Amino acid sequence: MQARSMLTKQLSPFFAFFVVTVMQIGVGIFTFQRTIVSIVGHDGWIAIILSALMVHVVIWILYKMLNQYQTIVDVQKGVFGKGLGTFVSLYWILYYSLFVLTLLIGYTEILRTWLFPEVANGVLFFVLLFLAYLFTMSGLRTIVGISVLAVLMGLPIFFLSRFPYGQMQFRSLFPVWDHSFLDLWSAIGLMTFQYLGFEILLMAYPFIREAPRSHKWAQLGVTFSMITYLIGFILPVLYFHENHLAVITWPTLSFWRMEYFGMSIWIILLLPNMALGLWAASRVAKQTLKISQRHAVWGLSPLIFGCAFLFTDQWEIEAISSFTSSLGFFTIFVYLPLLFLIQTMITKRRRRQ
Amino acid sequence: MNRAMRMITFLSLLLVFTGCSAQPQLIEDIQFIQAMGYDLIDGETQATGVTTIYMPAEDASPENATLNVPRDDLEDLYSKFQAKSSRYMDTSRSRVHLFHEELAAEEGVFPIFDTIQRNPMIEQDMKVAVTKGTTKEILEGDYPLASTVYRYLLDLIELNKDEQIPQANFHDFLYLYYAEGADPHLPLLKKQGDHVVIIGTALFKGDKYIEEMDLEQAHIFRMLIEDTEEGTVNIDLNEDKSVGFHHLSTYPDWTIKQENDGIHVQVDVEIEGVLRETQNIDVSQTENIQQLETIAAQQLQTELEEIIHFLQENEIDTIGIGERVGQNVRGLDIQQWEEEEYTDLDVEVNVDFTIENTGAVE
Amino acid sequence: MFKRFEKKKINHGKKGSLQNLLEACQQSTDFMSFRVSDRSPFCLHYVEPLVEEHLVHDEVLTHTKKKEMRTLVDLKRTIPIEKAKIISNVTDIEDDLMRGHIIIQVKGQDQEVLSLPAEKNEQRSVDIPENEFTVSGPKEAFIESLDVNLNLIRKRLPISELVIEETKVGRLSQSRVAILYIEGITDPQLVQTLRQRIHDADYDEIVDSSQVVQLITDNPNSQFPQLLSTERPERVTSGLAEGKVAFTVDGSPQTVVGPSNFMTFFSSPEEHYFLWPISMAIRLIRIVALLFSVHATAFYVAITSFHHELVPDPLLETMVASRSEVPYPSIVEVIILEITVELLREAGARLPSRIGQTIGIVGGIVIGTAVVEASLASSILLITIGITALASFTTPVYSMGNTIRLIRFPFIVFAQWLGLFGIAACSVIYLHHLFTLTSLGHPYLAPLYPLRVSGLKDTIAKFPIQKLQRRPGVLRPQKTKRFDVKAKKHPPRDIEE
Repeated sequence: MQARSMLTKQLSPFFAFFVVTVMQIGVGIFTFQRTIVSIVGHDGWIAIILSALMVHVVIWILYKMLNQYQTIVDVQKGVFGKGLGTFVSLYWILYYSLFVLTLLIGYTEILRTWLFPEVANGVLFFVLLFLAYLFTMSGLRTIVGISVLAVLMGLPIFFLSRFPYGQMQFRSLFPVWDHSFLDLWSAIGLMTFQYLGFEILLMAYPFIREAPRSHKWAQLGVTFSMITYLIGFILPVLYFHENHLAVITWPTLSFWRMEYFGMSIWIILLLPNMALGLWAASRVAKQTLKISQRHAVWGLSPLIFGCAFLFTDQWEIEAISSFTSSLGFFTIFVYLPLLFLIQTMITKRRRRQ
Repeated sequence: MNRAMRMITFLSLLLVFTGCSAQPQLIEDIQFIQAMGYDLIDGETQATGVTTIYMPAEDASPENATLNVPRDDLEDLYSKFQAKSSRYMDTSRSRVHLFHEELAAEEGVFPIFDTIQRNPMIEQDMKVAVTKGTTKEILEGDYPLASTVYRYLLDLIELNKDEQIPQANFHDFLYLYYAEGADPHLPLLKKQGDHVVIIGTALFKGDKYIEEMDLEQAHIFRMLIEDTEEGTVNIDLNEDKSVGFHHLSTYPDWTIKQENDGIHVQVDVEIEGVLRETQNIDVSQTENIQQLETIAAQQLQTELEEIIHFLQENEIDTIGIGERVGQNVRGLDIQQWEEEEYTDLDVEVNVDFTIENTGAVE
Repeated sequence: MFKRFEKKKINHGKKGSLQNLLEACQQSTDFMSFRVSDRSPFCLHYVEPLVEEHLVHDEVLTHTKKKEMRTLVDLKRTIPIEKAKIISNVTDIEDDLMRGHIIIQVKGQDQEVLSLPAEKNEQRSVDIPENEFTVSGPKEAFIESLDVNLNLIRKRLPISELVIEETKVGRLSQSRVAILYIEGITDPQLVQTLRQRIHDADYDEIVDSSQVVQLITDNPNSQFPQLLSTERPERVTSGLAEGKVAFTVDGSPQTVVGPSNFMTFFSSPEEHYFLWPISMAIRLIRIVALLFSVHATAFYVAITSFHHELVPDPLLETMVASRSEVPYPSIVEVIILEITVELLREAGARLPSRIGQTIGIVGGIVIGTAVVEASLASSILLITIGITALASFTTPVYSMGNTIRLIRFPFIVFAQWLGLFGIAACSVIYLHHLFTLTSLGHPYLAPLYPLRVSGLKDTIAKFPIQKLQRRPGVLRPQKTKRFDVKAKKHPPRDIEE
């Protein structure tokens, strides 16, 4: 009874802000500067802003779709028909699980490099997944609750950065736009990976009260995480030389004043990420395979745990990250707009008939 | 039911995994290496580490101990340190790194810097310096004014960074090293009797030490690269007339203009100071003050120009002019510019000297 | 509404009639049963220790001995005792008998009896609060008598909307429980929840309200108290005025107010009597003290065992020097000292207050110094533990204080296991617990989650009383506004007017 009342209670629209923010600022905030700087140098901030704009557009599309249907599963059913639509929806289970997996191994790598080189991977995987499992099992409301806490209390730690005024080279950002548009485009592609996560809305939408009203909050969430990324980018660029930055694996950690403390506290931002991913994946499973969501979580978490062992060294992790990155890019920025086009065409034709 | 299951899972998890938990390394069992020195003696590199042995009794002061090992390559270094010690060696708290001038000149310092920055456990906010004479001699020395060697060196470099020499710690070195069109510099130390003295600034080309500046020059040089709040300067007017200024605050302002005939570089240095010392000059007169300002400005201008020429002759760009040019000119190959045009570049130096007051008396 | 109570009573089996009841009672020597006089038709039955004796002598006997008295109705009319009633139900008769009523029976008649309330009320007088002592504010505390307690509450809310519903809990103890709420403010749903839960509470002997709390609480396995027990009447009334419900149990000096959220347990009634900037500062200090008390020793373990980088250079010397003589790892050191502190605290709480203080001094000074001198613990740890103990005392509610005392142990174990990350993981587990916890069906972490900014005004922060216009929205009160804000009479004045 408890569990059912949890599900039927809906979330206020403004929680979309916290969900989007917390999903977008994951483990990537520690490392995103390096890849961007190695392509466009100090012009990376342009890429950050432009990709945020793209995300704004996609969220607009997303809400257009969801206002008509409720979840992505329903959208695909509506567009492809029942059988094929359900089959295509299975892809989203994989997609969300992959998202959880990338976060899991990314954070574990940081923990192992900076805090506990001697602790076995398995222990950290287990602890992190166990916590994510715990939150997933208590339902969306609890996960959203910890997201709120993460944004309100976890993120400020990120801003407790040091500001070594004398050592900041404020001229480092000039000349503006010193790189070709092609470089910038590939940087935008890389940067969009950091903004991924908002696609949780594709499943969470029916749980939001007066969901269309949450649109502006979701957009605000993107703007907020863009600002966070901008700060996280500009400060290290002013401090390190860009050639230097391009070889530092975790610039945020090297720059941070409280790296050990913050790294541990970061779990509070990561947990809602993983829990939401797990929740969305199991939710898709429930809607397509008609199994209970509880069982889906039981099935998915050992699977993710097992897969995590395949990616333990730096190169493997980089490979899976870039794979997820390109998969995410095509799913969100190519597939979703296409789906939207088809959907509008179908709707128009139906209306005409 | 669900809760009971959860708790049981959790407890079993604890029991299973406490066996393979993180290995605790208790703080008192660690020998922290707090300062390190690298020497090149008879073609062989040697490393010296300074550690402090803390005495549990309240009245006993901490004692210094040094360890000295030869090394073939860097990875080897830590294990050799470990082999010499009964306690776990930890380099994460090394706050001072010294390089012997021969090592810096012949082998370069970057390999060691690279090892340090690769290790995430090491705090990257550390002091680095080049020494005349072996670092071993400095680190093993006994300094009457300080309790521990590393603390002494740390304070010495930190304080003089504010007062005299241009800022150059580990991070600054790496910034300039990685930057195109800039060369790093480090403080230069020397042991004199019971003291370690800062004698100037060591200038690098890449990561190799090639030239030096004395303290006087370093003093002037830093007016070109950073805003300063402290510092003194003496201006000799003629044989028996001179003035001394304290609390000099300087603000260099570089302007780079790209015109048809090439790139023009101009630096305006704004200096404000308090007059503290006069010999045979009446400073109660406003005209005299104004005259002093002009003379001081001219003299400093000449000195600044000399330093720029000195650097250009040595083909090193410690000021980072190349970097500044790169930040203002689009699409310039800085490497090429540095090689072809830097040495012949005509830098226009303008000094604006303001005397804020004449101290407590007129 | 409360019919099920009747069913739940012990089945007396053969005690079906009044005759059987009286026979059963006669097993006890303190049960008095006699005929008033040979000529009178009346028999008196009462339990001697429960009855006010002068009533028996002065009123009952004098009236029953009068010749003209023949029927119960006559008696009821004459005897100057209020609430006298004629009853016939055997269960009721037993109940009254056991609560100190005098039962008057007409000889030979087995159906109806007259029940005269004549309870002897032995009670202490209303005293100053001991556990929730405050310097300013009212100084009355509840006592064991339900009627006195209700009087204390009624006095503060002299309105007809204050509803008191009485019921009984406990098969053997038959304790009277009164549910209080304000009609028109409190959410009826909430009242129904409490009513239902108290109704469903089933146990044989209820001595204190805390037992009822355990029976009706949302999650009985939690380490956190979910309902606030207080001995201060004004705390109950201000809870009622916010739209909460309360209940009080006869024989217990603690009244329970709910639903309570986490921050309720960290606010003291005194904060409402201070100037708001001071109250706000005190609350913030308490929150810091909470965090410190839970995490400090775990941090010590994590830092000395794993994260030496976090020790600032100047402190390193002190730390290494004080640790180097201690023969065992920091976790053992911490646990030994923490247990010592718990022992001291427990010993102090069990002993009479004067000796208790001595124990504190002996423990604190003598043992503390000796432990450090014998190198059984480092002096830095001793300071840390001292401050954590002190910080845990700042929790104004005793039951929450106990929780804070004990939850630091899991943190210490996690710190030894995975250092700072372990502490973070443990915090997250506790957070998860707090997120799922409810109090009478209302979220425990409110107003932090679900986030209600207006609710924060009197939980984490403490705003001036003029700004607290709305009752906490989480409680869904029927009237949300406490008062109407009057339009400003004067326009804002300029300087020097």
